[in-house]
Amino acid sequence: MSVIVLWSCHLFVTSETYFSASDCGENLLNRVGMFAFMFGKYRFLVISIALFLVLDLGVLVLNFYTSGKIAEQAELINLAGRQRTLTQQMSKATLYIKAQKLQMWVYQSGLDELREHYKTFADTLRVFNDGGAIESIDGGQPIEIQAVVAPQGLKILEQANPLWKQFEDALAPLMVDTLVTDEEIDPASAFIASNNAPMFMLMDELTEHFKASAERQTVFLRRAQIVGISLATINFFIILFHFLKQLRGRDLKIKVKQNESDQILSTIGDGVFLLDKNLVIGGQYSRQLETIFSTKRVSGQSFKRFLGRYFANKTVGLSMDFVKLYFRPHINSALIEDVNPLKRVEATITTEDDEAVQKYLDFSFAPLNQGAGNRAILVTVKDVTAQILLEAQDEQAADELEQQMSLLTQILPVPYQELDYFIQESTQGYDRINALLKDTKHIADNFENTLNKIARETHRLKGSAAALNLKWVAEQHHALEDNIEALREQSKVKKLSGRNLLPLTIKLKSNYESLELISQFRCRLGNYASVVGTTVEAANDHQKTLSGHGGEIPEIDGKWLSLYDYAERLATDQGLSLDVDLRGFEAPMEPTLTEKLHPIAIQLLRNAIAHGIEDSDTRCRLKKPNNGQLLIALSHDRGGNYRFTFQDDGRGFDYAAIRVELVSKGILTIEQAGRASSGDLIRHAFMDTVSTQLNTDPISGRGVGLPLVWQLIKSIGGRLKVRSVEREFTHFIIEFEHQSNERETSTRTLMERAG
Amino acid sequence: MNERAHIDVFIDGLSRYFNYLATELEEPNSSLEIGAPYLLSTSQPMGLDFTGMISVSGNNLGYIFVSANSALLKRILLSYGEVDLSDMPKKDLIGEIANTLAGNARRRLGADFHISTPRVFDGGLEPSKYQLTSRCYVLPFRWKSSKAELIISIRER
Repeated sequence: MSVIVLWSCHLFVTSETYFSASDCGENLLNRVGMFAFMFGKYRFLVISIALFLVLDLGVLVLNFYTSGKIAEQAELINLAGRQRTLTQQMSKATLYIKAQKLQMWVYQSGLDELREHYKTFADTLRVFNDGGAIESIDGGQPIEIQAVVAPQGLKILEQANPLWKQFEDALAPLMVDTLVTDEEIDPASAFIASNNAPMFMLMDELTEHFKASAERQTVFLRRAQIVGISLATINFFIILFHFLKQLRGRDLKIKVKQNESDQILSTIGDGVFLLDKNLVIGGQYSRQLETIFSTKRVSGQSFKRFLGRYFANKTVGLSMDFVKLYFRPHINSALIEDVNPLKRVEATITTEDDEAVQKYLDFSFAPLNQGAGNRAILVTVKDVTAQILLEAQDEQAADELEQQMSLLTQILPVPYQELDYFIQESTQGYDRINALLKDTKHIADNFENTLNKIARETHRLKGSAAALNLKWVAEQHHALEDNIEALREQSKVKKLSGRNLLPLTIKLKSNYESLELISQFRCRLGNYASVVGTTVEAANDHQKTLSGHGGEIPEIDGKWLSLYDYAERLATDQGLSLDVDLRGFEAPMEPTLTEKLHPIAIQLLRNAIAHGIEDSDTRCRLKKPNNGQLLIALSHDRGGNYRFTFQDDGRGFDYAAIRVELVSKGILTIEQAGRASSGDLIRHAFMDTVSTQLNTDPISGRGVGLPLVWQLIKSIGGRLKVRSVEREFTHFIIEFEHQSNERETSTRTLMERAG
Repeated sequence: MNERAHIDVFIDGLSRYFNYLATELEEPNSSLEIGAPYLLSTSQPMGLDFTGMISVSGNNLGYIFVSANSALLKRILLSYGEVDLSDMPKKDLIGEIANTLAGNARRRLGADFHISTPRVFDGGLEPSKYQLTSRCYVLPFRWKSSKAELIISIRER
């Protein structure tokens, strides 16, 4: 019985624990509420358990009661049995007394025995009739006996009592004193001899009656126990089956919910998981999370450690500080979302194949109240790589479109002959750069030399593009120069391989493509001739303004005429004012002559504006004209000997700055630089990449302009003379030979005009 | 991914293959020497003695050719202990190199970059047979003084 009770209690505790655990997410605000909730929810359980206990206790009480009764019946049986014996013993005692007396022997012991039996019998019979205390049969403690009330017992007693009364009357004379006469013993003996058997039978009946009563009690108790235990067992099984049914139902519901959760988590397109207050990732998360991070090590991981696998320490630190904010009371998540460091953040993820891939991820956080003051954070991770790349592509496409529109507007004003020449010149330039790359056999050994050649070519093309105001192309060349410069810097600290030149080649391809685009635009411009006319007209207006000439204006070749525009743009960009005088470039110029000199003129012009011409205030202090004066002239002796002059009234060569630059580049020692004459310094400026300007800008700062001029002069077999006085002027005179094929239509020279 | 990243993937594949040769064949001094990449217009002849070709489709279109002279392939075959130095094993070898590049590209560039099974042919390639970009990247490289080229022509769809 006890085992069953304990088992059921154990089941109850187990069930309670189970349901408490499963319902932990409910909003249970306080214990009273929780008790009411539990009692309401588990009313059946409570009633069943109470009934079970009542049944158990009822059987137990009945057991105690009936056991007591059985014990009492056992005493009665014993007492009744003793009465039966006493009847025999009283008969025996009287016969003993009579026999002793006949032989004149002592009979006192027999008398005492008779009296004792008589008394015991009388007391016992009295107790049977009236109830009361009497010594137990084994002579122990007195026991309390209830009066016999059963009809069968009473019926026996009703027969026994009158008979005992006769016994009392017959034995009364023997109870008086110690002397027994024959008149006393003989009738008593005769009475007992004749009535002993009936009394014995009555007591025997009484004994049997008590036995039967005890057996009934026992049977009743057994039946009561069987019924009680059966009811308790039935109750137990009702509880068991009821809760098994409930458990099965709940398990089924949980399983259905679990399946639903699994389905949702396996099909949801984002990575989703929960973070607890210790910032540990929960057990359930979406399958997409594994896909995004290419890992199954998610559940139970520290969020910090998890992030540490994919992000820099700084990002992880900021993220942890940010996430902790959600666990603070009264935090409005909408207000702190702006400072989320895990928005569109780049992650480095190692795939199962051990490949590192870059992904852009977007984390969002939503606090969840789990009741009883507990909080968790629902974290959603989106892989926005495709979106970001698409945005970048859109942005790039928009930029390209804008650049193309910009390029078109830049191309429109350019005369088509000049544009054709520019396309041809640039194509040849790019081909030369490409050939330099292709012919580089041992890249590490020739790295600097190759880069210098590419830099000069690029600089020349940049000058040509800038001269035509093709800013977009000029910027591309400038970017190419940046690449070259970066490679130079890299080559100082490590040995570079051909692979390092890849950005340069990619940029070169991009420039080729730009040139193809210009070429396509050029072909599509249907009304180009009118544009040329407009441009020439506009340029002539500039010439009037810039040259300051009055009266008859000589018609200058279109390509050279564009130098006015270019000079004005460069001067304006630098905040300078300039008068340009072009002499000896009257149209039509021989194209091959222009091809030789025009790039030189552009580089010297850029050099003069970047380093020579002072601003108005400085010129005023130096008593120079407000506008810088620039003369570009070409003359010849009709014998094929030409003289190209470029002079400005600017600040001249800054010899001190050249010395510093030569020393800082390690080309000369301090002593050598100090001893170097102005001629030596100018020679270095043409031979080495020397720049006296601290910063690089689109027109200067790389120190490749003058070396490029020298390269170009060498390519036409020319001789260079330079005269420069600090703060006064710089003259470049280039003498070269050129055999004209179009002598009849050659330009009028300065000398002729002078003549 | 930009053009530079795509090209880098194939150069990495090439380096991986020759590094494998250097370690597996225990020839530590046989390092790959990569030359300066340059451009080649489709009007010019391309390729060397044997060429393996991979075509690319998906978000990007184009071809990757790995072309080697006979001497380079011969040297590799000798390193493998091959005794048959005829054209057939050389073609197999250039196919194997192209296959390595393709496998590496599949892993690195993902599902949007469909890489075909390599094809192999004798000699260089005839640009007119393929829809190449107007200028292709040529990445020359040397192994044990023998030369080969990686020719890349990819454009966005």
